[in-house]
Amino acid sequence: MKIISLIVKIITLPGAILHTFFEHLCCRTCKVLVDDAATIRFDEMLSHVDHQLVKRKGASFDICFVPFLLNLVFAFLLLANGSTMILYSGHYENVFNWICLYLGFSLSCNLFPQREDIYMLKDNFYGKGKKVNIFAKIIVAPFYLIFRIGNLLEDTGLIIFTSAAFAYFVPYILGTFVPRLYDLLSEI
Amino acid sequence: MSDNNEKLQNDEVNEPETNGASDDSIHDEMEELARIFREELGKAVQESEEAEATDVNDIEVEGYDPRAVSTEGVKAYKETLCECCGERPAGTDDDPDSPFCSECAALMEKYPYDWKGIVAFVLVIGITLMSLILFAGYSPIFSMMRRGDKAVSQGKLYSAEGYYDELIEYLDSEGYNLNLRNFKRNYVDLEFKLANLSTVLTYIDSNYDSDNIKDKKVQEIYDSIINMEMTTAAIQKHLSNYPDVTEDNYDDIIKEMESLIGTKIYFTVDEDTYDESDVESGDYAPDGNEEVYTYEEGWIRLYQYSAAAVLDKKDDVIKYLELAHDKSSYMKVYVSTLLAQTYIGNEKYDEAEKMIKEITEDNNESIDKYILNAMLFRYRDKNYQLAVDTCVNGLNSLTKVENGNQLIANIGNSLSMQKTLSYIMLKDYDKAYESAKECYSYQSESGNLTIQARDIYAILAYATGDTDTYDAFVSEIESYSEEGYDYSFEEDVENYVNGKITLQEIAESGRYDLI
Repeated sequence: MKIISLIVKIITLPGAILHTFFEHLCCRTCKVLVDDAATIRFDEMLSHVDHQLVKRKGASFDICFVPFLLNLVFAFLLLANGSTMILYSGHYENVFNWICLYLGFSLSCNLFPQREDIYMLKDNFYGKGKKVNIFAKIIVAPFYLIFRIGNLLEDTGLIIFTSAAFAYFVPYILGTFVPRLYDLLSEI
Repeated sequence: MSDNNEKLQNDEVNEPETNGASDDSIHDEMEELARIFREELGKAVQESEEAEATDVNDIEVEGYDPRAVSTEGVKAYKETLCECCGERPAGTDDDPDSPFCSECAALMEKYPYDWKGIVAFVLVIGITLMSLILFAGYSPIFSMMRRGDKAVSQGKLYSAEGYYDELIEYLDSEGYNLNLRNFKRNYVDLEFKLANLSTVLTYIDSNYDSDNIKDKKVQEIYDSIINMEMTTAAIQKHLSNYPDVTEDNYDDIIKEMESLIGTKIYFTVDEDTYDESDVESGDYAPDGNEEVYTYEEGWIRLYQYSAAAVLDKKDDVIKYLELAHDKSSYMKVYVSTLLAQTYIGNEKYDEAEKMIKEITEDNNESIDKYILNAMLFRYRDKNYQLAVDTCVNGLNSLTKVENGNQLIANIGNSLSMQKTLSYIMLKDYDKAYESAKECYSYQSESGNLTIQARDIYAILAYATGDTDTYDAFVSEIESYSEEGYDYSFEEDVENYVNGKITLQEIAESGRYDLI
């Protein structure tokens, strides 16, 4: 593991802890055998759970996808306030907004599964001799691609820049529906 | 066994001689064999039971060294045991190939959560909920700000102004005390683009410390407006030597304005209490501690234009307007429209079209493009119906400006005036009268009533036989005159009433082309 990746994970420790927690939660739900689930450890397993290989397709997808989704959702909700107030509006005085911004950023820096889990997913869905529904293969393909790219970004530390970009653009994403939502609620 | 068989065979051969004795010996031998068999069986069973009760590693055989023996068998045996506890056989009911026993697998499935993860999760849930509550309260502000910003990026400056004004009103009414730096900067920039300079200065005074603005963009805008004010004050002082612009002093005025370009301005008193008499020109302030400004060239060019316009020097009018257009980093919205109108008045229609295009690029919602196009259709193409249609489109577009209802009153009057003039050329005087009435009411509503709107309304009232309205205007003017005000009709009204001028001549004169 590159040192830069570890440094990024240490800087964004809350997000790493949450990712470990969500992955562990998923392992327990999917009845995956866990070897070690320590949330704070300064090695390549920081932000991940040490678990046994999974042969079930659904479980291998869930282990990759659920922690990713939960971290993403929480990151978005936190950045909705933090990024909108600080980055978009320029209101710097409220400390809570900074906490939201940091937490949202740290969660978005720890979205993606570890490489072994991605290979496990690939083997289960696209491995030789595996009988998998073609639709399942098609549905999983983009996620597999996203996970691979995301994992590469995490390994190289570039995730810090993509997460910063994500934090910057959250208000613009919100701007596509929040004003309409506000109008609708005002009418009610 | 073979000895016994031989014995048996020999006994059978000698049977007739020794029948009774041989029966007993056979019986004894069989009994002996049975005893031996039972003993051996017992030993075998005992060994078997001992082997079952003893670990394979504990087998002690005389002369047997387990280290010397191949470990393959032991390994193979070990592999069948649980990897975790190493005691129970591996494999579970769900997965017979599992390296773990059922008990260990059950424990690993329920591996306990790290308390730090649980604490982090609870904290994040709490913070997220608070964040959502805050954002819900903030969403009206964000919605208005975002809509305004989006409108600016789309070049819809009037819509943006509507949203920003709505937001300022909302913040005041709800008592929010948020320092929205980016919004404030965007608002100042927008009002500056729209040339609402007094609005910008008022807003900066009430929202920033003008001595320490701390925002580069706002500081630049503030400085340029102050610089322009200083330029105006300094020019006014210079022009005080020339009460009127005449053919005799025109060249002197132009030269004096020209000489000011690039020179400095300073105050002889404190900056906050200055007036025109306290502004001086030169390279440096006499005491060296007053802030020094530079003459704004674009603004000087506009003064030169004004002097040329007074004497109706067409070439100079265009020349100085073009220079003002090139040198003005601000007020462009004003200078561009003025220049386009001048081009049309001087029959330079291609240049006018280019300028209209530039105006449209700066502000998609610019109403000036409709006014200028209507003028083009009237003067260049003599297509008055198209001019009317353009004005109607312009007025309709104003109704589509988001949050811009007040705009119709503020700037719709110019379109109504163009419509009036076009109907006059079409000799549809009733509609012309209605349009003139509309123009007059818009101007009255916005509080910016012009002489042109009043006079054309009075002329058309007279032309269409609405003598009551015309008489009301006459009475109003008389009453003002009695009170000592300098308030009267322009000569066009009297000339028309006296039959010295036609409506078409009035419409074509260019004196009523309001922008």
